[in-house]
Amino acid sequence: MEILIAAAAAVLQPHMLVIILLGVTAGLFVGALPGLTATMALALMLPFTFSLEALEGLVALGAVYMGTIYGGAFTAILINTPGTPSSIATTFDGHPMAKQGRALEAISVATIASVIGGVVGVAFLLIAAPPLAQLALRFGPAEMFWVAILGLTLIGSLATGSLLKGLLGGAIGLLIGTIGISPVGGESRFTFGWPPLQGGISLIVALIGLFVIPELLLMIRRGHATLETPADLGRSRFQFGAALRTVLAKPGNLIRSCAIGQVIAIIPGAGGSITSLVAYNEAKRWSKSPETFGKGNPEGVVASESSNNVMVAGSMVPLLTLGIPGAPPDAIILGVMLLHGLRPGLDLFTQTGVLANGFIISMGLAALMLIPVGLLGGRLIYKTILRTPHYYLVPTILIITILGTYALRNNIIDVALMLGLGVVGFVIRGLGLGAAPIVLGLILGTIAEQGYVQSILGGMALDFPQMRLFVNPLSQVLIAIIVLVIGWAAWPQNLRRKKD
Amino acid sequence: MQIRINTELYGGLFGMALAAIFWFNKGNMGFLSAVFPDAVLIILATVSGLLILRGLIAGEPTLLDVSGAGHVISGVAIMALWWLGIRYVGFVTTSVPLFVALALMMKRREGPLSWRDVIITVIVATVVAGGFFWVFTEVLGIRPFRAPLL
Repeated sequence: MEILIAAAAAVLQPHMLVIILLGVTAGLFVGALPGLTATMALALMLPFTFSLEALEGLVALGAVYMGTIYGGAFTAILINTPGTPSSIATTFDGHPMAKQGRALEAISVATIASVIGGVVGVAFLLIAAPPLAQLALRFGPAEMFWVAILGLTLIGSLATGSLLKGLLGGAIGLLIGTIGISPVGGESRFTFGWPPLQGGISLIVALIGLFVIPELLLMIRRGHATLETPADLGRSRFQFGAALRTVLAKPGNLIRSCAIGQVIAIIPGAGGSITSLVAYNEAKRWSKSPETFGKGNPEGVVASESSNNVMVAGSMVPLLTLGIPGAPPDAIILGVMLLHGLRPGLDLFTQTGVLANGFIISMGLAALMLIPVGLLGGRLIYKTILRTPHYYLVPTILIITILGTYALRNNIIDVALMLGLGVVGFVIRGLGLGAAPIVLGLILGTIAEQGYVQSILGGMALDFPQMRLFVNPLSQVLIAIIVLVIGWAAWPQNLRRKKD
Repeated sequence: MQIRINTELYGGLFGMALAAIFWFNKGNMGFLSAVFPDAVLIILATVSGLLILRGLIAGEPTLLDVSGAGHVISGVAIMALWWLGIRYVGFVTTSVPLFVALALMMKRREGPLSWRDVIITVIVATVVAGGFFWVFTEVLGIRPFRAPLL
């Protein structure tokens, strides 16, 4: 409890509140820009955190993350274009509401639902993360190897819609992660005679390259975005009280959506788009008037927005306890943690408890700040976005990515690697290979390699040292889950194929 | 314009090619350094092989939108020039003309360009490139690019 009080005191400092406010505003701005994802927002904000202390940097990124996911709702409602993939389900009822002249009601409902979702996610993270980190101590090298493989399998089966393509992406990520000095043997690997590769490919470089550059190339390909006629906000005011009543009128919908968001958020790689779509579908299925969904039912907005904001903090559970990002934006946060010498696990909560809990509490504050920022600044941000031409946006983002990548290690080669990976990412996206499995493979590569090699070394007395990976009961449980996941992912694909 | 492409087949071939490139560039690694990459390469080749097989046996062509490919190629070329320019000329001196080039290339798709568009874009490019350069070097204290010019 003392740690929690100290953590709360640390983030309630005036400069911290300013960082949160700026982070939420920046996140709302980026999130409301169609095509710019939460991962991209965090990657763009990353260089601005380099000169900050560890807690300040994490707080800033947490606030940006919260703001981005909420910001996606603005354009989803007003121009039927989700600002981020997490807001896809918000368009289903949010935009019909806007077309009926209820745009401000829809935004107000989305705001309240987002705040409640954000706070629920933070509360769960505060309660669940420390005991789960304690549990993670029971994981030896073999178990850590299987946890890494489980993460890759989950993201492989969820992220791309094709299990094989997802696994291929994960394997490519693992392979990229082996470039550079071996963490166990200490030898130089796969440098292709090019000395700059000896330091390996930085996670942040890969993240920026694979997530930001393909989006920029897509924007270049499409040219200037043609938006549907936007809804006019006029001079009327946001309806805070009425929206609160609307959201609380169906507590079952709210609780169910938050629960769905929380459960899915823990699954590595599931992401906000899946979360909000599942929550929306369940809201419709449980509703007494499902026929009104898709025609401007605020329950749909509540389900989508509460669940995707629960995910922001919820997806931090596997990140802070095991070092496995629950969603792609978490990988950026992991990168910042590693930059500051922080390693996920129990030590994070015992040795740097104020920092870990301060970061979590700050996300709760960021969720609460969505109300003033969204309801007061939302109108201004929305109008600015409508006036910002993509032909200025793309080169501006490119400048930030170039400077940010360079600033990481003061290395111009990193910029070349970032751009190169971005172009490769754009090409393989056309082949249905997503960036998320590749990046997760890159992140989990070190965990998997250390677990794999240490297990084999521990099993040298066995006829077949690899068997050491299979003998522990906990490993067997994880293997069983992996088999179930693969079976679950492969089964419906086969059925669909036969049906077609 | 749209083209039909068997993404499973080509995805598998891409994975297999990548596995081959890495396999033949392993060099002489010791056991501890090689054991994990070997396992990854075997998994990559296996998954790629399965994808190729699936693509050949039951691959369904996917429609791929390739309109604007010329603009993408131009965009990639501008990015490459950007990197080269930053390295050998300087950040601001490279970023301003390439910002203008990229912005005008995108804007031209909306209609003919006027001198006013060019002047406004040059001003925006100078403010953005100069502004971010100043923020990074003077405010954030990040060491500037080591190049002859700004």
